[in-house]
Amino acid sequence: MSASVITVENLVKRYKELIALDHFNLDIKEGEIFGLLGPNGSGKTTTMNCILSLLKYDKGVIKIFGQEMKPDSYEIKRNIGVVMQNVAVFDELTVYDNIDYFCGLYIKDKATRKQYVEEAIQFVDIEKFKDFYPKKLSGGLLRRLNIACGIAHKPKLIFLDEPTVAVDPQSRNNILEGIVKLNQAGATIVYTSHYMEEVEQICTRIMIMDKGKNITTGTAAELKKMIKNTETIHIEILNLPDSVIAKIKELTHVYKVEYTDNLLKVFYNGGKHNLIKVLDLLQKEDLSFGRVYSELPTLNDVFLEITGKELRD
Amino acid sequence: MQVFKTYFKVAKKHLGAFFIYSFIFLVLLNLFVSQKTDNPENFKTSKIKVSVFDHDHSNLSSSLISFIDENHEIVKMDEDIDTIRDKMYIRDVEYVLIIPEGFEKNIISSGNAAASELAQHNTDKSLNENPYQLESFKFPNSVSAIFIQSQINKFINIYSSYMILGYDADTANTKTLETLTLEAKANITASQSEEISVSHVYYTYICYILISSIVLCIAPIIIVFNKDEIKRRTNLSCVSPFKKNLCIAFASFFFMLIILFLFVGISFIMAGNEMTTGIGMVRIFNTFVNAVMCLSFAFLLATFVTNENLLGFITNFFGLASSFLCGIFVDRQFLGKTVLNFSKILPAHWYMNIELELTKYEKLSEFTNSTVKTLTYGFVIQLLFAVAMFAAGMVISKTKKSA
Repeated sequence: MSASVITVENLVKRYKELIALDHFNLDIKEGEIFGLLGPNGSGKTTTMNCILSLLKYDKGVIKIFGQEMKPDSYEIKRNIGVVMQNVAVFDELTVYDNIDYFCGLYIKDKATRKQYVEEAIQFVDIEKFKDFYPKKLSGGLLRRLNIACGIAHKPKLIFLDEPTVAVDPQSRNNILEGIVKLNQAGATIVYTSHYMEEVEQICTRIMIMDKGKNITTGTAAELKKMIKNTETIHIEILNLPDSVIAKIKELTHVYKVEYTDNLLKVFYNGGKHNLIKVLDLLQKEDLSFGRVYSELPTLNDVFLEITGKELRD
Repeated sequence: MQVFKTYFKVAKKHLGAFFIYSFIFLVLLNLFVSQKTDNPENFKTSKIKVSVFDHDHSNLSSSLISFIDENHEIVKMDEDIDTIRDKMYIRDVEYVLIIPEGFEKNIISSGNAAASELAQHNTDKSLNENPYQLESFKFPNSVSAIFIQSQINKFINIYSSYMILGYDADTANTKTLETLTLEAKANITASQSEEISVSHVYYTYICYILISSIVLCIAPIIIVFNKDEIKRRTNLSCVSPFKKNLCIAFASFFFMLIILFLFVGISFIMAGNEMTTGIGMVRIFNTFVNAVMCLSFAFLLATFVTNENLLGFITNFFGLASSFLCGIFVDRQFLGKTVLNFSKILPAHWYMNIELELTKYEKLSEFTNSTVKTLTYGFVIQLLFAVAMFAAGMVISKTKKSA
């Protein structure tokens, strides 16, 4: 069993009357890519800010690498890297100087720092732009520079707060691949995002939070198992009689049927070969149909079923 | 060290405004220095190049010539129409006067009215109805010619007036010259008549340029380090916010000293020996205190201004208000009592109090108790302004942090 890198117990944070974090608990193990999912205002950023001692909290205990995290825990901070949602670089410095500055806040030795900066530049693949000023960089390159500034000092724990916002698909893939590489190199990663596909793609464990609470935690597969729905079949069909809809409802594992705008949706809570069974029934009823497709549940379905609202609201 | 080094890398990108302000300041300062140090008592009227041909050889004509010689430059040349034209064409001479034979005799015998008529100059001899009338050559519409003609007319009119009063020719001559040498007495106000030193002019105007250059150079750098995201990322590192802020404060102070040394260095070039005296040293110290106040002002602005245009507006407003109300751009003698009382809320008022006090002395040993008191008040109040601005900045910064 890996050691805990972050432990949060009974964390409470209030903004006057509003409870931003309500007895929040969290345990992140070494080597994980931990996804923190939740809609706007769910408390993701507050959680990160409390963990990083950027915010004072009302109650609770936060430990990083087994030690209590305080604003002056500089030895702990030495091993933490943060990539913020908003690009945090100096417009007056070149790409190289920006990375060198932020790396220099952790690494004093000049030769080591030079090596680390070069490696960070190579890692995010911006060698060609190292003498450029940030204003001359595209959105994707700026994001990569932002990441390089956060990870150049080779931290053991990296917080990535929506690092792919406003990034083109190609750059997004590069960034995601980079995150996986960092993890493979030994870093534990805490990843927050609105994009559940990304979280599903790279995170080893995911927490869904809402209203300052941990709703549920597990792997993507474990979370999906928590909900009733296992498959949804969509069929485009004209003039479906009510009698046929009633027959579909009687099929095994079907728990709900919807028919609106000539689109039939059949919801299953288990079973195998469900698509063949429903198509057989339609053929027997001599009904012709158009496009047919099956969808497995997403994290959004998980979130929708657990909280009653969309993840991206 | 990393923060300190980066501070100056960022500073490099904000030096444009400093160089522009300094260049304009130095050009204007040169103009101000030459204008202010010009002594009004050294005023001299311009002299016109005149040639005179005397055919009368009388007392009057020789007096007239000596009068012209005293006030203008007499150029000698041959009395030949081609020579006269050539010399006038190449501006070797601006006015030529020919005194005809019998000129004095006619003046004496004809009286005042005739004198006026005889004094009328004519450039075309054929038009001279009176052969005893003065003849002259001049440029058309020449101001110099009108000026010298009016002087000659004045001389002849006074001379004839004395003759009418019954004076003999010699006495009339002497009296005329005496009358013409009488000058109106102009009183020059005390401060204008005092000798104004280059160092005084320089250290008066430096107050404005220090506000502009220090605030516009340093505040934008602090603003960059205060940007939320940069601040957050820096605060997440293993450098404590206190250490980081201390580095920024030290770098800002160092940068202020560089700017100060630069301007003080220029003052040594411009004012030379004046700066090596005790008074010069007090001037430098006063400027240093003022620079510390400007640095505090820059810090205060950087805590709540995030936009460079707004920063420029506030700095210019403060700088110009200080300059106009405290006696930098306008002499205090022209400012009303209300304005001067109001200007006491500005640090530049106390800077100028010291600067003006220093103009009264040449040596430190001449200082009176009241002077020492004025200087001490000035230094202390400027430093209090600096402390107040710094404290206000700290309060704003803390309020923003807790919000």
